[in-house]
Order: sequence, then structure tokens, then C-alpha cells
Amino acid sequence: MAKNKKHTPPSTDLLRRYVAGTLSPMEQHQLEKAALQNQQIDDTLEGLQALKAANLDENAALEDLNQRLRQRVRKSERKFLPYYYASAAAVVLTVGLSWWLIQKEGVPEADSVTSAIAVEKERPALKPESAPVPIVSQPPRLNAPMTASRKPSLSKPSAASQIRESTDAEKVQQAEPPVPNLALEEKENEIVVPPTVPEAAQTQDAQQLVAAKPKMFIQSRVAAPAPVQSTQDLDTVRLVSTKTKQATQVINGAVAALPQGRAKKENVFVLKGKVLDAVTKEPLPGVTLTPQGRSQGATTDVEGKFVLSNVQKNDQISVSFIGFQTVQMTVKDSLVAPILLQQDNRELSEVVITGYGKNKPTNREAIPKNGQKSYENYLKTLAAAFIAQNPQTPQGRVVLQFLVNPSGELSDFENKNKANLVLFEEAMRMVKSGDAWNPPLKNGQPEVGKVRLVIRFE
Amino acid sequence: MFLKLFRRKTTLTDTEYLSEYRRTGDLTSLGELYERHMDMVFAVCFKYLRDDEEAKDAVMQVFEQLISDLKTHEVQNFKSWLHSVARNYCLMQLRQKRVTVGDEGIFENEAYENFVAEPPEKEDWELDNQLSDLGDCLQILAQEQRRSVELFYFQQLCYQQIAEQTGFAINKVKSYLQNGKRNLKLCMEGKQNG
Repeated sequence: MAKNKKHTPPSTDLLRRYVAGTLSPMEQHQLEKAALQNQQIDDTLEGLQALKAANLDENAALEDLNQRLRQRVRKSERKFLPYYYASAAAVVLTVGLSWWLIQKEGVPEADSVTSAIAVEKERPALKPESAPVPIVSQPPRLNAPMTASRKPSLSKPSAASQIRESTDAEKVQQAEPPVPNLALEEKENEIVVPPTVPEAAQTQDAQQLVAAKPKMFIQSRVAAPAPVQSTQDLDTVRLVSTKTKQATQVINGAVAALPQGRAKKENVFVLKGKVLDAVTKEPLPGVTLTPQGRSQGATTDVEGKFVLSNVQKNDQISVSFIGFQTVQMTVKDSLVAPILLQQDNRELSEVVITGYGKNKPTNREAIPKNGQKSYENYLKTLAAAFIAQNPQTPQGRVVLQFLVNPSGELSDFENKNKANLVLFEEAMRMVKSGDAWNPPLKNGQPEVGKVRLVIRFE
Repeated sequence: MFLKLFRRKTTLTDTEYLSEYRRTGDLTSLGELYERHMDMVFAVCFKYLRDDEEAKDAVMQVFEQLISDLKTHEVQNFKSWLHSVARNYCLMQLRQKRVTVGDEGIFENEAYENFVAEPPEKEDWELDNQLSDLGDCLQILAQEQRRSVELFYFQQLCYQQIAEQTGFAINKVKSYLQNGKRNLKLCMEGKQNG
């Protein structure tokens, strides 16, 4: 038994019995020995003893803890649960993306315009139903029909883009079956008609259309998924489109004449999103969102949601909340993924009060530009060179005094120790041709300074 | 003993739970595993923090830490690893609060190094030497430490009995033992190294 104990650490139950005092002395000894060797046991034991000493009910605390733990686990489970949300989001995303791609590629322009007219005439109420979420004024979607209509020469799409359209079209059908089907039917109906309709009538329609610019244009964009229902449909549409070429060209002209400024205006959109705690994934209310360079921002509501108007693509928005790290994000789309904020665990640092002395002396002696040291070296080497060149001159030292005026000029050289004139002349020459001097400063102002140098010619 | 066997068969072992969690990231399995050891974690946290609400919060915080740490760490002995995680967390809390705890030995680990569980394969003469060294070293120890060590390790008494026999306070016995053990170890190492 004793040997066994050494290898299998005592269970917490055993420790509890120890604390309760129901163990035999031998068992107590074994346990104490184990505790002396193993800090985990020791800590647990001391904790249990402390609990007993504090007269706390361990079971109640553990019960509470169990509940909290389960809650915690369940909370994150809930997060994993709604797969259908995720899948719905994925479908919407793919649809939106593929649609956008198609529009960007430049769907055969005649098709989109004709079908747009078709839907427009028959069902003006189509918009709200068929609009997938991201429809709110997306610049690319606006531009696509416009640019397409500006180059009518490109009337046939490439084989590749046809294939893409057909696959994408399937996705569209999956995602939103009811409405596009309607649109499809109507389009078919309409398509049969055009050849027999007099061209004049078509043109008139088109003109009316253009007259109703803003509203209608959005609707025609809404109807855009219709042409990509299937390749077959595409073919029929294209067939028709050649027949109604004249009419469409009139429309094209009209559309091209649309004021260009509107495209710019459409770039401004409304940004909606959500802010969550990065760890707990809980919504954060009261988070401030500030677009850079503007004063008006937004804050999140109780559910962590925000709506930020007047946003443009590539705007910088800073997301900040007390106790969390501030995030900078760049706007790419009117829809953003939930913004996750990391908790800021920094402690408030202690306040350090530092007294700063003035780091620039306002008073200063006159000094050589490159410093005292290099100047001394310069004088030494020159003096030595002079002696070497003129061995016959008597050696000695020169005490040279001169003035440095505020602009750094040197004047009033004096031979203070009445040294040999040759040496004095040489010393003067050395100083004059040496480093320039900085004038002395008094209260930051340069003034005249007196300098005394001792130069040894030895 | 039986309980242990029974458990192993019906439920997963710690290691199985761990690999399960690392594979799936499923919090339920981690939660079940944690529930097993929560009494230990709670006791440890209470030992350091001395407040049941704080200890409870600490237990939950340690769990949060596990969620992230266990994804990256390979843990061999979960229980002792968990203990050190909990202990470090509590010490960090205390450090942040700048509270000094009067309990001696909290910050020293050496007292817990294996002293008794020496590798047994020693030559006889070596053992003899060690035993005589031990005798010498015991004489060096302070009176209280020597008595505690003798009664505890030689006569295998428990703290309670030692306290009764010697009249020492029961919590003093423990610190005498810890310090005596450490001094003995230092003394023995000194002798062995000359």
C-alpha cells in the first residue's frame, strides 16, 4: 500500500477525508509525505484546509462552478449550431459575388438592356422582392450596364463568359427561386413581342425609360439576374436583341447621355455591420465608429449593430471602445463582416513624473566648430610640423589671446606672453586657417568672447 | 482503486479528452475534462486568493485559458499541468494586486523536489556513505527541524502525532519538515561534491 501511494497520487477525495480528519495516522503520514513531494497535492490540500478554515461550503461552490462551466460550454455550442445561417450567408455571398463578376465582365449589353425593359414594363413592383441584400447602390453594378452600353460593338460574349454565366445562373436559381423565375417568364413573354412591335414604339419606350432615370435605373439593375438564367435563354435573348438592334441603339444613346455625375454620387453608401468581442463573441454596445477625416461617426446599439451613412469605398474607419484595442478598417463594401475587438489587457501604467532640465544651455563659452579635442590635435600637429620645418627657430610657447565676435570672426590677436614673434605669427596663422569658432552665447544670444590659447612649439 | 478502473473503462482518459478536443475543438469534451479536475483547481485558487468569489472567477478564467492553450500545447500530464496553469494564474492575480502573502514557501519550488524517491540502484558502499552523511547532516540541523524529520521520516508519524509529541504547532511542523529537508539536501550535496 505504501509503495502504491508513491506512484499514484492521492485523489482529491482522499485529501478531503484528510481535511475532515477521518484518516488513520499512517494514511495521514503517507498523504503528508506525498504533499511534501508534490506541489500540486500540497496546494490542493492547503486550499481544502483553507476552505474549511473559512467555513465555506465547497460543494455549493463547485455546484455553482459546474453551472457556470456548462453555461460557458453551451454558449459556444450555440455559436456552432446555426449552420443554416452560415450556409444562407454563404449562398447570398456567392450569388452576390458571381452577379457582381458577371456585371463587371460586361454582360452582352443588348441583353441586359432589353430584359431590363421587359421587366420594367411588366413588373415595376419586382424590386423589393428580388433585391438580394447587398443591392444598396453598389457602384460596380451601376457602372456595368453603362459601360456595356457604351460599346455596342461587343455584342457577342466569349464562350468562356457564357459558361460562367450558366454556372452562376444555377446558383442564382438555387438561392432565390421564386422571383427570378417570374422575371424569366416575363422576359420570355416580352421577347416574343419585339420583332412585331414597330420600332417607333420601342424607341418611345426607351425614351420614357430614360426620362424616368434614377428610379428606373436601379430597377433595371435589380432585374439583371434575369438574363443569366440559362444559356438557352441567353441565346433567345440575343436572337431577339439583334432584331431589335435599332431600338436598343437608341436606348444606348440615351443611356450614355445620362449625367456622369451620378456615378460619383452613387459611390457614397450606407455601411452596416456589427461589432463583437473577439473572445466571447458577444455584441458590444456603445462602440464608437469614426470615419477618418470626419467628425460624424456612429455608435453601436444594444445588439452591437451600427449604421454609418455617407461612407465611400476605401474610407478609413476607426473602431474604438474603452477597454478594447482600437481597430482601423478600410471600407470595401457596404456590408462588413462582424468587427472583432480584442480586449486590451494593458494595465494602466503608473504615473511617472519626471522633471526636465533645459537640454540646451543658453550660456556657452566660445568653442571651435568641431570641438575642443580635435582643435587641440590640430594645433599640436601644426606646431610639430612647424618645428620640423624650421629647426632653427627658437622653441617656446605662445599664449595667444583673441576675440570671437558674434558672427564668428576672429580679431584682436594679442601676444600675451611676449613670445617670439615668428612663433606668434605662426600661431596666429594656424588659428586663422583652422576651424571656425562659434561665438559664446549668453541667454541664447551670441556675443563677443575672449579666447586664450596656449600653443607649444616644442 | 476499483473506482479508478471503473472510470477508465466507461469514460475517456484525460489524454483521450485532450486529443479529442484538439481534433474537433469541441468545448463539451474540454468542459467534461475540466469538470473532473475543477475541485482541484478551485482548491488551489482558493489557497492563493483566499476568497471564494475570486477563486470561482479564477477557475473560469483558467478554463478560458485552457481553451486557447490546449489548441497549441501538447500536454502529457494534464493534472499537474493544469495545476501549474492555475497556480501561475493566481500568482499573477496576486502580483497585479500587489498583495504579499505571508504564507511561507509559496514562491519556492525546491522544497518539492523529489527527495525520498531516489533511484534505488546504488552500490552498497555508496549507500553506506550516504547514510553516514545523512547522520552527520542531521546533527547540523536545528533542533526542531531534526526532531520533525526524525519523527516523520523514521517513525512515520503524521503531523498531528508529531505536534502532540513535541508540542510544536501543527503548521510549524510542516515548515520544519520542508526546511529541514532542504537543508539536508544541501548538506548531502555538499558532502558528495567534497
